[in-house]
Amino acid sequence: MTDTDYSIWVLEYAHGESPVSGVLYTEHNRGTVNMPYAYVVLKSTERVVMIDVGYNYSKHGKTMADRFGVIDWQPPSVVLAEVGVMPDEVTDVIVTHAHFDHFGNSEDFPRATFYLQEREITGWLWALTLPKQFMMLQSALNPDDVVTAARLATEGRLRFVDGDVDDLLPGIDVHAAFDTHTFGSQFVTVKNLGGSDPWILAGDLAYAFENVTGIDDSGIYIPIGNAIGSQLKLLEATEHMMQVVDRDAHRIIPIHDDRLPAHFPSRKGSTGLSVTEITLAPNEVSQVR
Amino acid sequence: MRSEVIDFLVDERAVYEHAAEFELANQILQAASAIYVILSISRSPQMAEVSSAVDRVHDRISELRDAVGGSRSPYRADLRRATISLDRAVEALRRIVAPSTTLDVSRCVRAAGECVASAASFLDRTRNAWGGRNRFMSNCCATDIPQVANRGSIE
Repeated sequence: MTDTDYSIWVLEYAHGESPVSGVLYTEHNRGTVNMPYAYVVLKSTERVVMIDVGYNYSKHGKTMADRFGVIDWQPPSVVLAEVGVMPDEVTDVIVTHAHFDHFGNSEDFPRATFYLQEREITGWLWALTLPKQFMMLQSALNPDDVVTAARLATEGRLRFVDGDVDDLLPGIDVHAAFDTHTFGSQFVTVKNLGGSDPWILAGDLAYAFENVTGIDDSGIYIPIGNAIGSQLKLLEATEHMMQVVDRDAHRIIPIHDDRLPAHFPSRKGSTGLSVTEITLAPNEVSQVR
Repeated sequence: MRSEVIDFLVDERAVYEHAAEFELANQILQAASAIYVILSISRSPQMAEVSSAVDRVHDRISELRDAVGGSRSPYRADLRRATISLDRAVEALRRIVAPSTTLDVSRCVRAAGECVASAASFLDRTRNAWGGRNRFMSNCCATDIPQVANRGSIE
């Protein structure tokens, strides 16, 4: 195991029902689907990195979770323990976007530095200056989280990223996807084995496998339905992801798809939520077998 | 004689009437926080846009001050304190946006950060108290009100 090879686990921390039309743009009136809420742990010899941190089921985070019908929330101390990690071991957090279920629990990671696209915060600020009729642009934003971002900045634990950055952390790239799901979304590439074994953590740029593979593996990209940017930009982001993994869609991980545990080694954790092992770094012990 | 339940409900109406002020304060806090974050860690902030956002926030603080001044909310004291902190935060941010040769930028950034944190804490206190009332109200609806109804009247 080297400091640029990472084990990757997707950890479900809550779940809820979501309209299929929000997951797949063209699929209207198709009812709802179970949507896991999850974050990702990357572990190398040197670091424990997280992709997103979920939300905290308290204060306004509770209000928002209740509004979106998300249930069975478990705290990071319980969820991360499934793979032998403690929250205060997390050194870095890459935030794919600032929605409450991705950036809503920085307080549980007291030692981590957070990385966020600058456009995500400037977009939020712009949305706040708009009249009330544009409030839909803020629908999944927890007002408390930007205040938390200010606190992280005060503590020197917030870093802005502007666009694509290679090796933001050793062996980890970030790629901007502006004006897609949110103003400043980004996806993350983990370049294991010197880049010959790449994995993409898609954030909310892909909710389900079909966003990338198409329905019935047609190969025709279907953008997600929930977006404040454009469907065109989402399609372009999907193409970008496919290029990065040399068109191997299996390497693009949609954390909100409840079929993910069936595609990779997995188990149910002590709370009944899924632990999915995407890959193991050399000499790392499996946490699902 | 008016019952305590009616007093409570009248008081509760006042609480809900302050929701708009609370929401406005919250939005201003978000905006001040976002400006603070952009100014304190961005490598090349779009100063024209930030400057216009600071002006907008300044206008909205005046709006909030007027609303809180005429408010019957039981939480107006905290809202007033939050308004003062937001005002100070925006003044510090304004000095960064329009710097002079004698300006100590890091001191202004620190001052803005402290004022944002202070406003957040006053608003959080209001929200906790408000949430507490709502929970109490829900409990009343779940238990006390049916008992009152069974007695036949509220006196």
